[in-house]
Amino acid sequence: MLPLLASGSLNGGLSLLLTPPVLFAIILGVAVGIVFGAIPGFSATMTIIFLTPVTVPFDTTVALIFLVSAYGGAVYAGSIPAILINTPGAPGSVVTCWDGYELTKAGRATFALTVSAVVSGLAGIIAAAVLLFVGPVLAEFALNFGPVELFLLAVFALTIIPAAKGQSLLKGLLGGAFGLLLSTVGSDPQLAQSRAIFGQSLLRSGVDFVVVLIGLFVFTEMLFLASQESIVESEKDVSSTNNQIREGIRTVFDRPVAFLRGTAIGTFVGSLPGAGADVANFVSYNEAKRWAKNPGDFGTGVIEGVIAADTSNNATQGGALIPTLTIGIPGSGATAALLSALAIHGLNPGPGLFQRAGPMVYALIFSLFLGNALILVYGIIGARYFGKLSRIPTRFIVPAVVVLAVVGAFAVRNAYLDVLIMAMFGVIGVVLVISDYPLVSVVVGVIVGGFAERGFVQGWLIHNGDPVSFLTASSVSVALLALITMSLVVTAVRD
Amino acid sequence: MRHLTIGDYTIRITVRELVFPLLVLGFCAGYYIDTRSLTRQSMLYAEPVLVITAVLATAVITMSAVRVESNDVANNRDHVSMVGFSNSKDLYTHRTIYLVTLTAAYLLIMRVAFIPVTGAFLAATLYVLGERRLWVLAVYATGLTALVSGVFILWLNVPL
Repeated sequence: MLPLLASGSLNGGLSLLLTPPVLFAIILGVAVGIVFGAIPGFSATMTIIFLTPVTVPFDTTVALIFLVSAYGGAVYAGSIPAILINTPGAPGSVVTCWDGYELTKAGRATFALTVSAVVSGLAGIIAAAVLLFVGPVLAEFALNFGPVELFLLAVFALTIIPAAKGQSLLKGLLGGAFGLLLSTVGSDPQLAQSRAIFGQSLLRSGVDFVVVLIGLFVFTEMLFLASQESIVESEKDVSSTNNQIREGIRTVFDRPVAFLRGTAIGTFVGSLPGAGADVANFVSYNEAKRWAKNPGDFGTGVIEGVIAADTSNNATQGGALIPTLTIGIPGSGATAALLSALAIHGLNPGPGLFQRAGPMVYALIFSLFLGNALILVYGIIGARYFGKLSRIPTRFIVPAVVVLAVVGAFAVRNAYLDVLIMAMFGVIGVVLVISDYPLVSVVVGVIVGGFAERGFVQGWLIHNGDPVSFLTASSVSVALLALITMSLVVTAVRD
Repeated sequence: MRHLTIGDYTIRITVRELVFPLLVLGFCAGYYIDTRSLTRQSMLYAEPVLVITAVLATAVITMSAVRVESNDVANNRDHVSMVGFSNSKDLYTHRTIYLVTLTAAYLLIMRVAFIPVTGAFLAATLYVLGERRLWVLAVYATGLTALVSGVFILWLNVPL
């Protein structure tokens, strides 16, 4: 049994949580996270990276709870621009665009934002409970994911995109393969030799997925948005704002199965090392579509699409903290950034963390309950006002978002080259949209490329280059292989 | 779309379908040239990904971008369908062209002096997108520049 519940520090954690500085850190952290996360292209990972230096003067508990609260706020807030301007604020909100933006275009932004806030907050609370009670069991299962399984999980994530988006399998696979190839630019993990850096020393550390994300989603969308006066295509908003909020809350409770399925998927995928909200929301959306009575309606503005996406991405927060806190392996990019923050504050993540800092770790877990409850409150109050943002003429949105995209790309590594790469992907994004490619294939390829390569290389070496032994390494890998085959066959038959 | 008739057959090339796979093939060629001298260990994963990417790009070209049909079929198709950017959003407007031009200029000169260049970009872009009130242009450009500078340069120490 891993030491999560073996510690007798629950009371100490609760006492720490209820001190004014910690409560203030949660209230402020969620609010700051929402502001940062709502900036298109500004991921939860970037939010934590940017905020970590700010927390250095803080008390360790206050600092870490502030960062975890900001993480939750940023993951939720990524859905706000996704719903309002078809621009995901973070990789985990890509799928929210598909139905959320359609609802905005139909004048139902407040409704979509209310649903997003309610499912995000509730899913986060449930995932926090899972972290508290089932964490050790899930962490042990996640340990079954060795290098081969991680590689196959990456391949599975790529094969389900064309299925989920209903686009050409061949085009989806080409986009994904291109993304995987982009992720190999830079030093190889074995010998650290430079691959395809074309004389640019910055590229030794690779092409950052955040830069690609900003280019493909933010820059491309702004180029299209510039041609419109307003995001809302027509005045279809027949219900009042209050009615939309009430309807949004009711809608979530009318669909308990959809909500619980997304939460379960998000918690599970989040607990897998390396796979975060960016993978979970695709899997959740695909499952919701598969079980739907009218799967063809997905992508046209059905609320089940928003529920699937936003339950799963916020549930990954608790899930991703399971391997991070219990075994010291980050469950996502954002928790990798959190690991570095833990180290900066003098804590070594892993099983020993619970012996050394039990009350603080429990306070951190308890803060997730409060933080997600605040997301629910902020989200419902904010939905009334966020929804009105979609009525702002695009001339006010486009210049500001372009500047934030440029600054955001630069800030990733403080490099001008990243700004140029972002702009280049903005142009490539236009080509992809015009040719009906799923943009997300490229981004997901870049995101999963890192752990796909590590998994492939380690697995290949472990199995002495024997492909049969490699692919049938475990029952989990066989199950993943079956899912990949099924996904490919079903999409190919549909095409 | 381009047509090329050879004997009884017509080769139909959909230009917009060619652009991305050709870009990918170009990148693959550059990648190959840059990495051809690396050891097998360094390319253990990258080489199969490179080959698969190139094969997929070629497959998209042959299956989506280029179609060989008999002249009869090709003539019938011309009567029943108009192929264009029917699935794409309306990109080709003056506003978009202005935005692209201003953004390119902004990226080129932003390193000269970030704060005044950003203010000028914001005001100019807002103007070409339709805002004509001078006080709005001034408040928008000044306010946003101050906000971006305050958050990123002063607070987060981004060396812009």
